[in-house]
Amino acid sequence: MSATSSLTWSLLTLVACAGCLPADLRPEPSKVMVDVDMPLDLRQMQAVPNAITFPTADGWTITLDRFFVSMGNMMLQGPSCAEYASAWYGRILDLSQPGPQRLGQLWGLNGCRLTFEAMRPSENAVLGAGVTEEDRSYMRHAVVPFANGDQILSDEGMALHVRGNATKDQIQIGFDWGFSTGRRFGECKRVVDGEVEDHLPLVGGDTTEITLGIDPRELFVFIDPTRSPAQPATAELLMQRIADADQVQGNQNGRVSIEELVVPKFTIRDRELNLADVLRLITFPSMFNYGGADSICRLGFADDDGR
Amino acid sequence: MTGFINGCFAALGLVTASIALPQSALGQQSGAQAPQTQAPTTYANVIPPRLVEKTLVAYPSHAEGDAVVVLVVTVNADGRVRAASVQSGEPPFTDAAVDSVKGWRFEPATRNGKAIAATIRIEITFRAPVAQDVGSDEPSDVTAPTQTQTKETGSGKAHAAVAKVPQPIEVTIAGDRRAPMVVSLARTEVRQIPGTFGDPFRAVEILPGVTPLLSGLPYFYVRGAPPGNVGYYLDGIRVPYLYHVAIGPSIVHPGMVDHVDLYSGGYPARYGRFAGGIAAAETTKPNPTWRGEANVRLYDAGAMVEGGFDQGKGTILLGGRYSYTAALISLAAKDVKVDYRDYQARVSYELSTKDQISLVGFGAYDLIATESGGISTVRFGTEFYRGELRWDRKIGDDGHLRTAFTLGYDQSSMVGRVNAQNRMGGLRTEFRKPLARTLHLRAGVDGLLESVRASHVPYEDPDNPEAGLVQRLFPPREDSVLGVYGELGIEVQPRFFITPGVRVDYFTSGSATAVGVDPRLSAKLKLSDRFALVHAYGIAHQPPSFMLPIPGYSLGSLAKGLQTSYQTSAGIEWGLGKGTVLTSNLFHNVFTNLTDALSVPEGLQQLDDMNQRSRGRSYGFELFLHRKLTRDLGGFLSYTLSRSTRRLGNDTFPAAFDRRHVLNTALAYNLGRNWRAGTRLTLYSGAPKIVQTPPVPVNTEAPTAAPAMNPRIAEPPRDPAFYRIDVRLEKQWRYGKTTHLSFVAEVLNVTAHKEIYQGTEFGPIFVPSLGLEGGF
Repeated sequence: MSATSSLTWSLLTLVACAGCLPADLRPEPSKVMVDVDMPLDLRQMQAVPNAITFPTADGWTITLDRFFVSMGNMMLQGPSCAEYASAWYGRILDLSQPGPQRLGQLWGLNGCRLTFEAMRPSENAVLGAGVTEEDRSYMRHAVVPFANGDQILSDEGMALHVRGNATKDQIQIGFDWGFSTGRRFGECKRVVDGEVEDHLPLVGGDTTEITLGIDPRELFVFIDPTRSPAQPATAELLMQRIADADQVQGNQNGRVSIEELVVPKFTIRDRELNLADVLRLITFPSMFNYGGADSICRLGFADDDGR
Repeated sequence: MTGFINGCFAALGLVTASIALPQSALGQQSGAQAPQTQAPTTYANVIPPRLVEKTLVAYPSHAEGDAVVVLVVTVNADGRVRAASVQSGEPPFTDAAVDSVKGWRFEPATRNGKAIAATIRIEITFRAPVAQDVGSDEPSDVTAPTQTQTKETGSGKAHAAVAKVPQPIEVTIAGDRRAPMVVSLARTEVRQIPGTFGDPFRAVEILPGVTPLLSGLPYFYVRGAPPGNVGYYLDGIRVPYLYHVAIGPSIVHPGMVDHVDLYSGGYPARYGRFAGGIAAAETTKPNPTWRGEANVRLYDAGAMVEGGFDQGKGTILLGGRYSYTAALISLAAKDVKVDYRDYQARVSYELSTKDQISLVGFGAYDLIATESGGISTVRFGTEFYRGELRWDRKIGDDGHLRTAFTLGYDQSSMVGRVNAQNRMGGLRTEFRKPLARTLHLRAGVDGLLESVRASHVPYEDPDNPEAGLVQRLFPPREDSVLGVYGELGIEVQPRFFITPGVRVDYFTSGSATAVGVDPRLSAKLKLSDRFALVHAYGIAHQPPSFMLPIPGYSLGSLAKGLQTSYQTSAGIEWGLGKGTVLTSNLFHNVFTNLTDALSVPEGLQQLDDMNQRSRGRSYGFELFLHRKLTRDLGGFLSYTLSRSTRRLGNDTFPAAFDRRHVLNTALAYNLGRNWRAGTRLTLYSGAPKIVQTPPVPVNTEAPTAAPAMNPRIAEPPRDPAFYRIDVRLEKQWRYGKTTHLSFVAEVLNVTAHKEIYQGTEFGPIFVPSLGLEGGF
């Protein structure tokens, strides 16, 4: 072999050693399919398409003609969890559409906990059934007034857009609210067969299905977390307070504004909150659950700056 | 003295060096005086070696000023140089002299007519550039002599054998050219720059015109051109990146690097296919004398060794580095693995006195992985490899022809995202030769074939908007480019030199084609021996590029056209004496059709934005005051005042990393007893902030549609300025003439200062390093 050919072969040998990055030798993961739906009883009450109707404990009947929520940014976490693929994107869902609706799918193995967000939509948020590009643009760019203590501020974009009215005894109160503060529901656990399921047991090759619940009724239900254990966990009659914010303390124009909602006050753990704060910080996140009312998630704020 | 033909080479910016040799050594050289050998007085029957063939002694392109180097050279009985060591002189001149002399061939010394090994002393005088040059770095003439000394070195025991030479012999040698707008850093000096950890490539960040993304990260803008538009070359071979992950070291062992050049704009026609700057590193020349370097630091270890075989006809170099950061990091984060390594190999062999063949191979590997539940997942992995077979041939006394065949393989992997690969093969020919005393030619042609593949992500939500985008961004395809270039160095008048050049590239990518015609022109007018005006103009084209130089990440949108830059600059070079040089430039670059998602605020929201095209402009002022850090007291001050903007639609706004002021200054001092200390200050102003919707009181009772807030405004607020202080302390022990051992303590960001970008604190990026370095 000549010197030239020896060198050539050496060169080829050098290049042939390429590809040292480890190949993907991971075992087959489990597919996790995540859907979103309203509670069955609420869906059964849905008499009119594209509208959600339900009564409240204080005698009001609420009809939501728009209940759009932006959700997603799902991932699997846990000390032993091997997440193969997250679903780090958002989807806008019209909850009045027939459910359940697909939110996304993930892949993982071993014991994992799901984290998801309700956050302001990004430019490429996926459109759920009945949601248009105009809806997405509106939810991205609408200026949302919100209460922060006694201040009324504004932000751009909304994680939830809820519009409707409440009627009681010939009185009709309208509302049109956007919720800009995104929330994160992390490391969720649920109750299965009476036992708290600490982790999703993900087995390779299997498909695990999870249905996240959204109950719009919870937006109008406030249970004081500071009540004593002896007191029953009865809901505050919130809709009446909301109505009073317009009819009693407000301008009585039949529409409840954020400015009117900052007037009613609650004192919770020595901190004074107004009604708008309660809606934004307490009842809005309480609508979401992870596979049942007994589910537990670590509640945080969505990191939606990068939307 | 008849030897200097600086009139010839000065016209082209060449530099001259005079070499003192035994008079008899030059008898065969053109222009030399007749040999006037005289028998030595001590050993009357000893005849000293006589030079029969010389190789270039190039004036280091990164050096300044005059210098004298004295070498002690041992010539074997077969006439080859066995060893050359430095008796006096300073790097980089000593390096250039040693490199060159080792390639010389002698008629061996004789005693009683029998060839013997001998040691001679050679004095080489380098003279600073007197003119812009173009091409040759070959010896050009031989003239006057000086005295020498010879030693017989039989059986390792030397006897003094003074060859008294009545008249010295001097050889005039043309140095390498220095492109008008290049800034060069020699490895010997880079070692002294705090915060670079001895890596020549890292030192690029201190140069004027260079704007960092974030402190410590080895990605930077050059005169407004983003990292993806800056080309990196190692010995003329394009490489995707120069540094290991994050704040890692460079991808070749520092001991292999001779110097690094930064061409900020208007660069020579031989460089193309990048619309921004060029960072080009040259390795040391093959050296048959065994030498080696090794270092052990807190987070990695590296070594390099080089030597000759077959009586010096061949040389072999092996080097590499391995990090054990994984072990260190695992102490703090058991589920994180960080790994990097690299290797270099070079074998060269002289087929004849004019022909040399070389095989060069190098590669780098980086991996960040996490482990959970016993399953290891690659978060980011990248690697690239290059192999080149090259043939160098001397054309006449001062011409050079190189033909090289290159193979390459790039791959990057991000689990859940993309596994992108790029296989390539290329052929290039480079030629340079003086055509006349005032006219030098440099030309070349090269072709490159690339196969781009991006694998489908095995587990992916099909509804995810980013699903499939990988294939859209990096579509499987075959790319090719064929380029030809030529440039002439012309002495218009004795103090006025111009270098016109042009390169033409024909690109194909899938079914798309494009042609880039890149004219270049640089000019230098010497108003005095120490003061010159320098201008450079050029157009550069580049196919679509990813925002960061990541192996295998090659955008496939050539159908939307080439990225183009129009580069202009004008400046001065002013030798202030005592080794201090001041350079200053004004520059103005215009960019069109850029795939620069990095510079566009909110430009990274979607992968599709990577193909978004924008226009841009950058202009500014650069100042570089430099006194070599290898002197007892050395330092530099590098300052850039600039503005870089982008234009999308009707919006003109500052580039995302537009920093008005960038200042780097360093000082190194010889404390005595082989202690050396240095410190460096890096200071730069904040980047523009993305403007959020202001929280203003509103009275609306319901959400109302509002116009989209445009974050791309002309004068946004900026993040706070950032500063960083680095320190370095070295103690060196020397054993003999060449062996040394050093203890080096170095800290990057000794004050642990945090940087703020977009209102978010980063870091502090604080890197301490303790290490031992040794060499022979």
